[in-house]
Amino acid sequence: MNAPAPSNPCSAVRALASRYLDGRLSASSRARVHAHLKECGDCLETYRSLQRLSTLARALPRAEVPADLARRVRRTVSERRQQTLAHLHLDEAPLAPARERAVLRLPWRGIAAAAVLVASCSAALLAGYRLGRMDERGETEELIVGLRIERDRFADQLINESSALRPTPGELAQTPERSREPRVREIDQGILQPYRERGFQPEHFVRSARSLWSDLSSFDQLDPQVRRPLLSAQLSCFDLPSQVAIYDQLASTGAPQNDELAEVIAFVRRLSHELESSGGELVPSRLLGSADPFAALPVSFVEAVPPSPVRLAEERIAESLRACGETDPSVLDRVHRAMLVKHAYVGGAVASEEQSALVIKIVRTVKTEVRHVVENGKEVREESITSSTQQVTGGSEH
Amino acid sequence: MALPFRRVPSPELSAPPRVDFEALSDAELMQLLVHGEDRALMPLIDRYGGRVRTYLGHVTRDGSWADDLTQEVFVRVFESSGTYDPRFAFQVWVFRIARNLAVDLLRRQSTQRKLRDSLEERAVETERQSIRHRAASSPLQGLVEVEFAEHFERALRRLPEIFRTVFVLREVEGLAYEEIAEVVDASPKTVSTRLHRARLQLRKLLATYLDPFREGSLPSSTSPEGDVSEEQES
Repeated sequence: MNAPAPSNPCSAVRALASRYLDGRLSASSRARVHAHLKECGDCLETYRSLQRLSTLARALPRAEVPADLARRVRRTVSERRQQTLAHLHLDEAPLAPARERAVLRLPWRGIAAAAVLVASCSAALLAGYRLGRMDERGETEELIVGLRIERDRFADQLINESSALRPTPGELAQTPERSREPRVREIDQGILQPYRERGFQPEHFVRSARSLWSDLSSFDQLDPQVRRPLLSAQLSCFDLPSQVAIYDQLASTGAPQNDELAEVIAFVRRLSHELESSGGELVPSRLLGSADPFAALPVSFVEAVPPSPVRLAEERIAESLRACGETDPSVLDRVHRAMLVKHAYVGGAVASEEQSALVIKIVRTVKTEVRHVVENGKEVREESITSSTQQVTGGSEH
Repeated sequence: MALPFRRVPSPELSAPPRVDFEALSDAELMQLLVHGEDRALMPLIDRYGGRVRTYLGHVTRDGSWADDLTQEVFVRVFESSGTYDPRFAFQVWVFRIARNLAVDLLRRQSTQRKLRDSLEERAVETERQSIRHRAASSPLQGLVEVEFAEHFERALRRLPEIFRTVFVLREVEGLAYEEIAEVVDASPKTVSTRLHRARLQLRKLLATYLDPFREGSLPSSTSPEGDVSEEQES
C-alpha cells in the first residue's frame, strides 16, 4: 500500500528523516529525500541534528560489567534454590511427593525424556565435579568441558536406547488388556470394623487401588521389562498387597466380607500375581518409609531394568569419576544414591512439560548435594591423613 | 551395598578435548547453562553485562536500581535458561528480560510516587556520578561529550519509557529495528515511528548540542544496507 501523497514536501521528508538516517528507505524514497535535502536548508538542518544526536549517543560512555556480578548472580540463584527446596520440603521427606503421586505416572515417552534428562544432568553433574577437581589442581586453563561433546554423543546414544524400549507389535499383543476400573459402591463400616482393627484401611485401600488403576492405564502398553519395575514400585508405594493379605487373613477365619470391595481386591490380586509371575518383587516397605533419601532407596527400582538408559548413565558416571581419580567407595556410594534419588524423582515427576521444570530444579539440587558429598569426602580423607600423620609423628605438631 | 559400576576407565575421558568457553557462541553457552553448567554464565556476563547495565541505567534513570536489575537479569537468564529459544538472538532475549524488569520497576515506582520523588535527586546524582566515572575512562574524553552525556541523561528522563527504550536500544546498543520489535513486543513499523518521535523530542531538548554546523553529511543516495521495501516505509 502506498503512502498518501504529501501535501508539503518538507514535512514528508522530515517524517522520513529517521529512516533515511538508518538506511531503511527504498531506493526511490531515498533518492527523493536526498534530492530534497540538497535543496532545502531547513530540512538539511533537521537531518544533520538527528545525525549528530545519533553520533553523540553512540559515543556515550558505556557502563562496565558491574563488579562481582557473576558471584552475586550465583549466590542469588543458590539462595533461591534453597528456598525452592524448603518450599518443596525436599530435605525433610524427599520421597514423599513421589509416593503421594504414585511415583510412576509414566508413559514410555516420559521414560525416554527422563532418560535423556538424566543423561544430560549426569553429564552436567560430572562436569561440575570434574571442574571442581581441576580447580584444585590449578588446571582451570584446561577445563574438561569436552564433556559437552561427550554429553551430546551420549544423549544421542540414550535416545536410541530409549527408542529400543518401545514394545514391538508382538510384545504389544502380549501385554494385558486394559482392565475396567474396579467399582466400589459402598464401604460397609460395620462389617469392616474388625478388619480395620487389624490394620486394614478400607478408604485408603480403595482410593489407592483406583489411583493405581488410573496410573496403570498410562503404561499398560509398555514393554514388560519396563512395566515390571513400575508395577513393583507402584504396588509397594501403596502397600496394597499387604492390605489384601490382612483382608484375606481375617476373611479366612469366616469373618463377614464386604462384597462391594470384591472388584478392587481382585484387581490388586491380579497385579500382584502379574508381578510375581514376571519375576518382579515388591520393594520392602522399610525402604519406602525412611526420611533419609540416601539410606532408604528402592535400589531394585533401577537395577530391575538391566539395559535401561538410567543404568547406562550411572555406569558412565562411575567410569568418569574413576577417570578423575576418585576411588573412595563411600563417595561412589553416595553419588550412586544421589543418582537414585534423582531417578526416583525423574520417574515420579516427568509426566508433563511443566513438571519437567520441577525435575530440573530437583536435579540441580541433587547436583549440589553430590558436590557437597564429594567435598565432605575430601575433607574426611584429609582429616584422616592428618590424623595418621599425627600418629606417626606422635602429635607433636599441636 | 555392592555398586553396579563397571571398573573400566574411559579412554575419551582420560584425554579430554579442550573447550574454551569464551570461544563458544551465545546459543552454545545457553545450551550448556540449560544442562546445569554454571560456568557458561561468565562469558555471557562478560559479553552482555555492560550493555544491559548501560541500557538499564538509561531507562531506570537510577544507577543503584540499574545495578540491582542487571543482577536480576542474569539471575533470570540462569533460572529461565530452559525457556530460551535459540532461534532468536540472545541479545534480544536478554534485553527483553531487562526491559520487562525495568517496566515492572517503573510501574511499582509510579505507585509509590512520593517515595520516588524523595529518591529522585539521589537517583539522578547516582547516575550522574556513574556517567562522570564512565566518561573519564571513555575513549571520548572531550568536555563536550561529558557535558553532553549529562544533558542527554536529563533529556532522556523526560521521555516516556518506551521512547527511552527504543532510542537506547537503537542508538546506544545498535539493535536492528526487527530486534527492537522483538524486545518491546511491537511491529518494526511501530518501532520506527517511536524511534522517530524519540529523536525529535531529544533533538528539541538537546538543541544546544546538536548544532548543525558542527559536522554532518548526507549519506549516499544509494544505501549500503540495500533497499528496503515500500511496505516497511508505510
